[in-house]
Amino acid sequence: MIHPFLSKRNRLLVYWLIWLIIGLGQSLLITFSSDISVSASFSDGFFSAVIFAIIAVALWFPVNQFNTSRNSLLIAILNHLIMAIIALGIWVFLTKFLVLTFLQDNVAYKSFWENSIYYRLGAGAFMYAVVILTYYLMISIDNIAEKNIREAKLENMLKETELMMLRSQINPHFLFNSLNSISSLTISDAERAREMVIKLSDFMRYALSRKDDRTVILQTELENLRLYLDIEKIRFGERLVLEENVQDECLVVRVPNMILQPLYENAIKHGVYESADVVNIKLSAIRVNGAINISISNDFDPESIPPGGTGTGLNNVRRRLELYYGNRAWLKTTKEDSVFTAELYIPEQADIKI
Amino acid sequence: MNEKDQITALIIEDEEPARSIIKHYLGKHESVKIVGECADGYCGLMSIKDLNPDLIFLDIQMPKLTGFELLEVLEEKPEIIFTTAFDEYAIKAFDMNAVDYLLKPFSEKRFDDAVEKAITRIKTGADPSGYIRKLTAGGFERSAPLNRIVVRKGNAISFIPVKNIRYMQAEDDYVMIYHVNGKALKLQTMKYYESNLPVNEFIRIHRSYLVSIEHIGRVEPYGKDTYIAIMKDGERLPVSRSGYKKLKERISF
Repeated sequence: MIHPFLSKRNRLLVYWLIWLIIGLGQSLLITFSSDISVSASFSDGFFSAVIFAIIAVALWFPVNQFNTSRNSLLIAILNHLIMAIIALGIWVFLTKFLVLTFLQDNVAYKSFWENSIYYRLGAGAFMYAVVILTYYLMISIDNIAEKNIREAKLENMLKETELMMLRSQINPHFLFNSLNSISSLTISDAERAREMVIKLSDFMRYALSRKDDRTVILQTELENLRLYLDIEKIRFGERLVLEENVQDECLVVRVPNMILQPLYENAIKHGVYESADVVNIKLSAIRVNGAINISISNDFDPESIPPGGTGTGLNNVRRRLELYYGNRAWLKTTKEDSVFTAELYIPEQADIKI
Repeated sequence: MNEKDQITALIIEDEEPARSIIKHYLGKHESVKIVGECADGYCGLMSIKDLNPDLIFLDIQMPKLTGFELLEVLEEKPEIIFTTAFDEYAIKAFDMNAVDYLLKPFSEKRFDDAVEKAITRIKTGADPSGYIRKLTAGGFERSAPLNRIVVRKGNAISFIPVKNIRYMQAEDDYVMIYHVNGKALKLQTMKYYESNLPVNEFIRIHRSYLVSIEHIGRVEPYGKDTYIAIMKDGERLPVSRSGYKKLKERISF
C-alpha cells in the first residue's frame, strides 16, 4: 500500500492543517499556563508540532512493514515500544535543540523545559498511539476495499464464464445430422450440398463467435436463425413449416445472440421428433412499452409423452436472461390445446454489459 | 443374382437425406434388396412384422418410437445395423455389446464393411436376439432419465408415462409394472429401471420392489426389525432393512 498522506495532495493538506491546529493549541496552552514569553511559547508549539508531523509521516513505513510481515502480537508490541522510544527521543531532542537555537539560549525556557518534560513525553506517547492507530485503520479500510474489488472482479469473471458456457451449446446431434445430410446431398445435388455447407459454416461462425458485444440487433439474430432453419428444412423437408410475423420496429432492438435458437430447437424436438406429421412453427415479435415480446409456438401432440429429456435448452435461456437482465426479462412457456408457446420478454434499453 | 438368394433390408430413419445415402450405398450391393423405408419407429415396427426383413438399418432418435424402444417390443429377430449421429448412451451400449453401428456421416467403406459383416452373419444363421436383449437391458445409465415405457399388445403400442407408475415388482426375468391404469409385464431387469428412472422419484425398498415415492402412503413396523409400506390405495408392500434405511433418508414419516 502506498503512503496514505503523501500520495494525495488534499490529504496532505488536511494532515498539515491538523498539525497546525495542534501546534497552535499547544502554543496557547503554554502561553496561558506558564510564565515564559509568548514568542517562546509559540516557537515551542510550532517546532514540536512540525517535528512530530514529519516523524509521524515517516512512521508509516515501519507500520506498513510490520503489517505485511505476519509477526506475533508480542513481537508487534515490542516493535512499537522500541519505535516509540526512538521516535519520542528524536522528537524531544530535536524540538529542544531547535527552539533553543531559535530563541538564542533563553534561561526561562530552559527551566520551563525541565518542568514540562514528563507532560511532553506523555503527550508524545499519546500522539504516537493515535498516529499508529490511524495507520492501522487506514490499512484495514484499504484491505476491505481491495477485497470488495477482488470479489466483484471474481463474480464478473464467473458470470462471464457461465454466459460463455450457456451460449454456445449447439447440439452435437444437429451438427452431425447436418453433416450427414450434406454427405447425402453431394451425391444427388452437389449445388444444394455446397449451399448447405456455406449455411452451416455461417451459422456455426455466428454461434461460436467470441466477440465482446454479446448482444445483437434482432435483425442479425433472425438472419442467423434463418440459416439454422434452412439447414433443418433440408433435414426434415416438408414436415417443417415456418411462419414469421415480426414488426419492423422490433428489428433494431438488441437481444442476446443465440437466444432464439434454443427455443426453435425445442420446438423442433417436440414438434418434429415426436410426430411424423407436419409441424408449424410460428414466430411473432411485437414492441410493447419499452420491451419486445417474442413468441415462438409450435404444434405438438398433447397425447404424446416425450421419450425423455433434460430440458437444458429452455433452462439455459432462462439463466442467460437472468444474468443479462436480472428479473427484468423473462421466458414463459404455455401449453394450450395442441400448441406449445415460448414467450420471451426482453427490455429494450437495458444495461446489458455485465 | 437369384431373387430368393437376396438379403432383404428395411431402412428406418426419419430424415430423407439420411435414407437416400443408405439407398445410394446399398445400390452397389447386388445381394441386398431394399424392401421398405420408414420415417418413424412405429412404421418400422409394423413393417418388420409385415415384411420380415433379414437386415434393418435403424436410427435411434425418431418420432413416435425411438430405436431402442422399437428393440424393446420387437418380436422378430432381424440383423441390425444402427445409425446414429451423436448419442453417448447408444454408443456406449453398442461398444459394450460388440454391435455394429454407423456414426453419421459415415464413409462408403465403413458402410460396406458393416453390410458385409451383416451378410456373413445372416448367411451363417447367427442369432441376433442375444445382443438385442443385452442392448435393451443395459446396466448402464442413459444420457437422460426415462420419461416413458413402451408396451406392446399385439400390434398396439402404448406408453406408460413414468409419472403414472406406482411400483414395479421383479418376476424372474420380467418386471411387472403397476401403474395408475393397470399393469404391464416387461422383459427387463430391476437394475435397469433402478438406474434409469428418475432417481429422486423412485426407491428400491426391497430386492423385488421399486416404488414411486409419490405413491407411498405411510410406512409401518411389521414384526421385529421389518417394515411394511402402505401405498396410497391401501396396497401393502414389504420393506427390507436396507430399503427402510433408504426410505428414512428420503422421506419423513
